[in-house]
Amino acid sequence: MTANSILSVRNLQKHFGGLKAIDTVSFEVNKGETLGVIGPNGAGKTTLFNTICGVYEPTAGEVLLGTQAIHGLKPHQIARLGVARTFQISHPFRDMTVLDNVIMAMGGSHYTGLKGIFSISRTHDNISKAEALLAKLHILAQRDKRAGDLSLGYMRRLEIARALALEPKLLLLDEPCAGLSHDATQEFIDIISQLKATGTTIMLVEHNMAIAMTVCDRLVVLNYGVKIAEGPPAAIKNNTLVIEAYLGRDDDIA
Amino acid sequence: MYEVVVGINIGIFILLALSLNIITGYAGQPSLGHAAFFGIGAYTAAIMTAKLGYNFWLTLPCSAVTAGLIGALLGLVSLRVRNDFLAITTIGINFVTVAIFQYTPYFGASFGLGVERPQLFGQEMGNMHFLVLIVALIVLLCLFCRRIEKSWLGLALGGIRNNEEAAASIGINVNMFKIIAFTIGTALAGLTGAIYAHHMTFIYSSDFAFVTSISILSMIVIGGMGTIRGTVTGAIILGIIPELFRFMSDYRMLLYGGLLVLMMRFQPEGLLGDNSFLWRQFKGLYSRYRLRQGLESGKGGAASDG
Repeated sequence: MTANSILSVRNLQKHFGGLKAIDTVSFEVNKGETLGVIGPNGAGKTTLFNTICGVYEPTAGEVLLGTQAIHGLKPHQIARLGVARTFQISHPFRDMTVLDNVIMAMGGSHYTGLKGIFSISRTHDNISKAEALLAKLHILAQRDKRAGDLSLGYMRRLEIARALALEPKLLLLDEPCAGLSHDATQEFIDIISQLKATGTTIMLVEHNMAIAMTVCDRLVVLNYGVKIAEGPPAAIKNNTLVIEAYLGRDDDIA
Repeated sequence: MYEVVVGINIGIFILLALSLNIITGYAGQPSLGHAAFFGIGAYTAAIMTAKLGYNFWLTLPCSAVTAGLIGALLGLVSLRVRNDFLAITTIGINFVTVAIFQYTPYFGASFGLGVERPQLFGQEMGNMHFLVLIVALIVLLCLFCRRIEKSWLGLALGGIRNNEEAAASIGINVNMFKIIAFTIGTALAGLTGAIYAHHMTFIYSSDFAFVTSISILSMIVIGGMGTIRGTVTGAIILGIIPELFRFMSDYRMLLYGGLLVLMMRFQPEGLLGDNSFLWRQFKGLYSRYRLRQGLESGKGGAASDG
């Protein structure tokens, strides 16, 4: 483990019955970097995310946040320790306002203890903090709309604002550009670059190679639950194993 | 006198509707068995005063605690079964509870349980006293609900109502908050049961049957689930209708059912829910009024400047 590693995944395994969705995967995410996890459909990218976030309990292996083991903890505990995530299919709190969606993520320790849960949530402080995050993601104008009425692109931005409200050590983005138009994708790449510039550590699942190549500092490539390559985008682009995983081998075609 | 009794009945429905609103409106957990907890509170109170000789005022917290503890168990069940299955489970709990009241000799079985009217300052409590007590409790409960809406608890329950996975991803302990919602909601129903038993002076298992649960749920659905104003309005409307249409009391359930279907088809948010037609009109009128006031005071300011 390097000194500036934020997340280290060690020999992680997740099996569903006989299916090895994640098969002995290890890698590190370093402070300030953007790590991309790529791979063809069904490679285990989202399962990897869900296992790190505690949605699934790993079959074997370790996940460390800094020096603290987080595997086996519940999703809400992992979130409070500073791992924030977005979902591949947007999950906004649909019947609540955009502003409330963000404030909700600032509860932290207020979500325990009688005194905490009954204390006022929408304080001036919290409202202005939430507004600043909405401004950062360029959706401040949508502040009082119901989150369910937003367009897909705005929902994705709201999810990122909500995740940032946790003040996370690590931000996990699950295919943030899936289903977006070309222009919206471009705007999203700008947003991710902006987050990188402010020092946010990001782990990004991406299906689209071009996007992953543009925004990521380093890539981890999964195929059938196995890590087949790791390195900077330029090296991954020319890795024969990766090309085979995406395109098949020559003799398959012949 | 008749008006006071109607007022008490409606007041009891308001208390029940507000308590169910915490479970179904705020936390989004369907419950079709709320009357069971109303009954558990009523029977707890009746046994305490009629059989064990305790004071009426002591039965209020005790009924709340008993119903709340059993409600917490239902909360534990809700962690395993969700949505439709939870709704069916709560129906089952309602039937089981009624059956226990009906077949256990200690609970009066098919004879029901008689209770005496409690004393207040050496005098028997009259209907007017009950009405005052109930109105006071409604005010307190409204303030309490308002506090929930403004607090982290309200946001956490809203998160669970919308999406449990996303709520967990921002640090909300979904299981704990579900149990909290069930405990608070059922405890308040139990408290209401204690008052009901002592006001009626006679309780019978069928008072707490599935039909009562449906009536309470209809109130919050028709009024506007998740809002205090809607819940109270729904309870008043459905509480008054049977009085106005006494001649067709046999068809009460038909009326409720018809209203529910109409509401679901044309106004699923309820009469005064957050996105309902009436509430939007009201908000529009209010903001126009504010705007006009602002313009007028602006004009006044300009004149004094000149």
